[in-house]
Amino acid sequence: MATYLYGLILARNAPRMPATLGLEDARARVLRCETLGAIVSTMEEAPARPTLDTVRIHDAVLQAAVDAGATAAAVRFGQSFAGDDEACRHVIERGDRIARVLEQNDGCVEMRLLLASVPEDDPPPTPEKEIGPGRAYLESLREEKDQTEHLALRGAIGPSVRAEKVERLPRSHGVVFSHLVLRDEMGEYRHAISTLPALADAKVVGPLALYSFAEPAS
Amino acid sequence: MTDANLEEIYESEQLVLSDLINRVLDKGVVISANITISIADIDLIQLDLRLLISSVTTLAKRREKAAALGHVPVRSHPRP
Repeated sequence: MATYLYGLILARNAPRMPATLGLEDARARVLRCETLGAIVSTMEEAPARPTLDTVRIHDAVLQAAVDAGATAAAVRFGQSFAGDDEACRHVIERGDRIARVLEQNDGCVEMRLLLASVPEDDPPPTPEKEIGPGRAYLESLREEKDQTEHLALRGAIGPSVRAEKVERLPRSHGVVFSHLVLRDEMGEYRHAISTLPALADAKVVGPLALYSFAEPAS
Repeated sequence: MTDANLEEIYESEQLVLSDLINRVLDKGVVISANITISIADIDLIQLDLRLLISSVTTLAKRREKAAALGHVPVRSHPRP
């Protein structure tokens, strides 16, 4: 048996977590690990590899916490432990920074603006020589970062955006703007977006758990 | 619904699902040192996603054409 971890909330928000089913239809519950609550479920065996269904379920468990009013830090898919005690031990050992993020951003959610494509200023550079797949992946990450550094919406949307991160979706031309927004300012945020003609075709996703803002800013 | 509408829906759905996959598999906190998700896994799910959306779009187009011709919709064969 394994304890699968979906996300982290402040322990004081644990009572908000509604009854919900996670992977293998196991009940999702909250383990109290000092100041943090770990959203977990018990599984026969940790998932060997992700599928569209398991990805959706992982996200849905976190969404249940968000919909109940808790700010949750998403945990990356695929993390499981030998049991509840082991899970808590890891959370406590590594959780100080996450606890600080959740305290600082209590009451916040992540909103994501998806755009199918944006103009690229320059074509991607032609590789000079063959490189291995690992190096190619790292180079593609660097190129994606270079191609988004000039993109920003925070100024246009206004003060409801507390923080912004921009990235290109892998293997597509889409761009994602991740915004940290106070739950109470969601209306202001959505209204600001609706007034911007450039965002008429943008897909607004959220409110979500903190994915891009789950870790402290470096 | 026109082909252009279906194309827009397809693009929109693909974008949303791509974002879902990307954020769940590539974002968020890392607590355990034993994550075994690889880039190949993300590519495999993207492939499943494209097949899923393509098959739904194709099915919708076929049903529309059948309806326009006054034919009873025929169950499509699954993609190999």
